[in-house]
Amino acid sequence: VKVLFFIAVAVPALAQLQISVLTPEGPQPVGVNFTLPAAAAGDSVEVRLRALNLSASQLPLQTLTVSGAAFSLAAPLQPVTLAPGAAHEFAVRFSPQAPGSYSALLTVNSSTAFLRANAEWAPALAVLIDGKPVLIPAGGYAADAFAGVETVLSVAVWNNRTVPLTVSQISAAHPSVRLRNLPTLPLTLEPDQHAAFQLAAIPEREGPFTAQLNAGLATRTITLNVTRPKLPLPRLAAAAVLANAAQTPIRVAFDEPAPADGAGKLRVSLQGAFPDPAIQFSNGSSEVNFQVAKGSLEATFEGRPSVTLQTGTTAGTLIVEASTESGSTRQSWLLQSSPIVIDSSRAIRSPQSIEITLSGYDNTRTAGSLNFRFFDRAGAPLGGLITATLQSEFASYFRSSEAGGVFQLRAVFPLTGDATMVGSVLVEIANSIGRTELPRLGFP
Amino acid sequence: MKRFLLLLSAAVFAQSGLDAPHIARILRDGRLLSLYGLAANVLVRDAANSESADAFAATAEGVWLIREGLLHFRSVEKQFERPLSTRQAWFTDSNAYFPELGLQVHPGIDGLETHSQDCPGEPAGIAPGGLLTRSEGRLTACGVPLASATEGRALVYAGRTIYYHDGLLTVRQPDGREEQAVLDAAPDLLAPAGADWIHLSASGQDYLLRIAPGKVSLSVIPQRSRP
Repeated sequence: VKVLFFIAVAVPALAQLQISVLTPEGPQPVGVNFTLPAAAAGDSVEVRLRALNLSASQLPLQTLTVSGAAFSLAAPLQPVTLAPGAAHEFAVRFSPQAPGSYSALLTVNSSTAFLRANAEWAPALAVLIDGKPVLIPAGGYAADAFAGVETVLSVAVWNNRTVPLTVSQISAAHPSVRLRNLPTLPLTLEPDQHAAFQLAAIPEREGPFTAQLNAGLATRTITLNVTRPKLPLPRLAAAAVLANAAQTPIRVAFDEPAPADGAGKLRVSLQGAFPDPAIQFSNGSSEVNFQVAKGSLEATFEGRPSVTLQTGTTAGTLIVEASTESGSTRQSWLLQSSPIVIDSSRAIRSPQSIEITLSGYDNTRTAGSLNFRFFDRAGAPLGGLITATLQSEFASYFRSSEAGGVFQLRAVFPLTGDATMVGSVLVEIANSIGRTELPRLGFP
Repeated sequence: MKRFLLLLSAAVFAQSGLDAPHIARILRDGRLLSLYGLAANVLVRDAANSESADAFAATAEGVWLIREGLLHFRSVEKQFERPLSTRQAWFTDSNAYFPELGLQVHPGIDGLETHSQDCPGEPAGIAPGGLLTRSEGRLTACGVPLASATEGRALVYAGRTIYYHDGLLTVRQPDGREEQAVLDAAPDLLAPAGADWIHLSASGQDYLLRIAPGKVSLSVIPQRSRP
């Protein structure tokens, strides 16, 4: 055991400077003798101190030294003048290479203090990489972590010396850190033997998260560089084929569980010749937010597993894009131009007129000509073909309707004679793609 | 011999017009909304004059409305109103039932006539002839069985019976044929919204049920119109 003697020197009055050690409870004057925390041989501990100017005048700080084996200043003194009441902070490092008792003389200007410290062999702290202990250096260990997500580090106490060593205490000085699977203490480790355990933490915020890990005399700082967890790239789950005038569920899935609660957005757009306000999600918008619960493989829309997409009544390419902070994916569907689709039709008569109402949509907005052919109650034609060209009327309507390609046409035929003779009517309506023939409409 | 003559095609469209199809009117969050479009292509617009109401139904016979303590009935031929101390109502063609009051009202010759019905079972809906009740899993119209088992609200409207059971919304047409639509929860609202349309609500989602024969389908009503 290496023992260094120390000289008991009468300490000059520290009238002008007061040297204190900085503790979590505040500065504590060191007095004539000060004992540093014990350190493991081959390791180091650092103590932060301060020199406070107690005088009423400016005080140049000219001398700051620590003399003694294993002791050093963490940083050399930069000349500084302390104003009355001002303090200079510095750190003394104790780095014993072998067990024993150590001492040193700390000199601050004309003031001195004896420093003492003990060292002994002690197990080291290590991280386990591929199951093997790797020494955590004095500067500590850093790892990446996500806010709100539990990070688990595999660590160990490791006897990296040549004699058996005992550890009787393992702890972590942070309320958010848990140590799991700790070995039964006290524990004696043979040379090169290690005992593994886990350090688990759930950092709440982005930024650095630090915790002290202690095992006997070994103390190391564990730093987690905390960032917000990102959702994986979303995947759209929807029908392979879509048509106009449809409502279809859209789901958003992920190939791996969400690392944390997150959110994203769905957008729908149409690449086509005309805008269509009916193309929207069930929230009434072309955008809808989705939420993803931690661990989930699927997004929800205000608690529902899917959102309904309305495909509108306009031809074009319908595009749905799902995006999270990781990126976006899209799916597109071709909504083919088609002949006019009539959804409902009605024929009524009064003594003076016949009225035919058609409701439907034209996804090309090129509707133009209509043909009407009337029949009597026996099915025989009444008169000839009546043709009407309403291209400009339809064009004008579609320009101003703000309802996409839907329309309701009300055709009134003034008549003379006996209206009850009319039994049915055949209607054809055409756009640029083709002609739509309606089933024969009967008059009630 | 009587003669029939369609006037010249040049005059065919003298009284004609093109418009967006107006399909229904509904009440949502106290506001009356007009619905345009088609099944599965619903556009939501504020109703004229931004009307508000506590309860509403647009039936084939007329419009029922409760607003500011007054029950209104409006049709082409009639327009009545009377004070009312409830905001809850179930409507069908020309009948209104107020579950909190146990009263039924329908338009008479001189005004809104009130009567009460004593039908066994839990009130579940309304039919033109009276109250629908549920008892031991059967939906009845004052004792007349309508469906073997129902959940949520039921309605007889425009000759059709609309009820829900086991994930399916069923429309029984006047000819007895049944058409169904899948719905994952029992409706807590069934209100006539137009001649062929029912407004229903389930699990906080509004739907429009088309009840035309051969065309029964359920459409989601978007929450609000796109700006």
